[in-house]
Amino acid sequence: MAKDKDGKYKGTRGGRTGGADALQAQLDLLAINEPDLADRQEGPYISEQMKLYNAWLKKQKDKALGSGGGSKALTEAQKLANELARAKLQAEYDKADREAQQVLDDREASAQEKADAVAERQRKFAAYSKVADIYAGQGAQTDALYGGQLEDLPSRRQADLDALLQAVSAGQGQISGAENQFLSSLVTPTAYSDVPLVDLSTTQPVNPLMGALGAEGASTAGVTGQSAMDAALAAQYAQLARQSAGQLNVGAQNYMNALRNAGVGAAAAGRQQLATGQTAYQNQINAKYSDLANQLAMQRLQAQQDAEARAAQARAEAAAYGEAPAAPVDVPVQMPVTPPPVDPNVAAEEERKKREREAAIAAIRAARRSEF
Amino acid sequence: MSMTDYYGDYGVAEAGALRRRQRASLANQAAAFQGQKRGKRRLEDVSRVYSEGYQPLASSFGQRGLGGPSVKSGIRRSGLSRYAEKFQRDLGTETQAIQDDLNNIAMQEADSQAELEDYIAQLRLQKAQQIMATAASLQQYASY
Repeated sequence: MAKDKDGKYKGTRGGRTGGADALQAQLDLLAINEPDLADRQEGPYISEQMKLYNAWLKKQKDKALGSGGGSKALTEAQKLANELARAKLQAEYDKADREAQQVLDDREASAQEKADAVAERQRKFAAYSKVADIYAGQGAQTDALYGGQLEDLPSRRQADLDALLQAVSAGQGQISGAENQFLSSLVTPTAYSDVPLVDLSTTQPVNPLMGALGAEGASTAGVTGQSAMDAALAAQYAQLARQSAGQLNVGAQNYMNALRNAGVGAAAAGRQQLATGQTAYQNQINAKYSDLANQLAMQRLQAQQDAEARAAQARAEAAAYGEAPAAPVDVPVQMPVTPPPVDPNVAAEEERKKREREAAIAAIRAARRSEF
Repeated sequence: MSMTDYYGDYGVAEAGALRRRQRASLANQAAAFQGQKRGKRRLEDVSRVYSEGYQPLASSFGQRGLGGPSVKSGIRRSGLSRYAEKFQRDLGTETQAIQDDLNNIAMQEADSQAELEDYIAQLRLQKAQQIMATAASLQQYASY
């Protein structure tokens, strides 16, 4: 125990053993430095054991004073009291030292766990960082993918429009060709124009029997009348047939004209359909490529946003694990006050005091045995 | 409607129609020839029947004393006149039948020819229409 400049022992206030024990230790120091401490009024903070000890010490003092052996016995008692106080301080120090050692042991046991945790954090940090890099790299890939397609769209659109124009031109040529071929194939119908109809009304053969009958007196009036009527009927029928053929011929001409008109009309309708289709398909092609461009742009934007979002998420995940600390965090532990270095001279003095204390303790025990 | 219905047969329909028309024409020619022969035969039969019936008729008047070299009765003359008229009427009927047969065959031939011409013209029109419709449809752009 250190001494101050006046040669008195000095101690530390506020030790880990509590304020009351610190006061007790201070009281012990005062008792050592002031031998008449036992005569003082005891304070309320002194423990019952200490009170008993002080009472016994006062009794021994009175006994010594009464028997004439006086100051020497008091001195021994004070030394014993001082040694006892010092032993209590040592016990408190040993207790604090054990607790500190336990803290160190616990920290060492958790060191491996902390190392494993650090390694795990490093692995996760590296993995999420790699994922973030991959997604960040997808932005360039997305640009290359969609950019190329978007650049190709105008040329593809123009190619489709050119192909449409070629198809329309080819269609117009085919229509005109078919029209000309059809019209040239049509011939004027002649089926009813020269029908070989027979008219026998004018060809009455001379019959010998009819001449003989006339020679025998038969009247010719009836025969003539019948012949005239037959000729008239034959002529009528022949005329009817010719008339029918003529009408049929007109019908055939009209029908052929209708076919010709149908062919010309079909060609006109085809050309009109081609023109309409050209406009409609041209608009559809333009609309299609506009839609494609919009879709590609939207898809590219969506892909970029997705990649950026995933990269950001991966970065956030990596940041959550962060960079591992260079060394494990050392939790500060309040260590007990280190005892002052041992001086050889002081050690010899301590050894001597120790022997004196042991002797005093033995004397006290002997006195207790004799007292009780 | 398939293309082969009209022209996709690559002319088979037209060629078939022409062949059918040729066969029909030959049949009509044969029918006309046979009709002429039948009509002529019927006229000859009429003349023969009336020629063969004249003597029995004339004899019947003689047997009843109504006829002879110096007898010119009105009954006989009237009978011979009716016979002559009937003969003329039968001749006219057969002649008209011949004319009708021949004219019917001629009209049938004309009808067949007109039908062939119409059919071929229809085939060609439908072919042209189909080509035009196909050309105008721009089928390769139907997906747009």
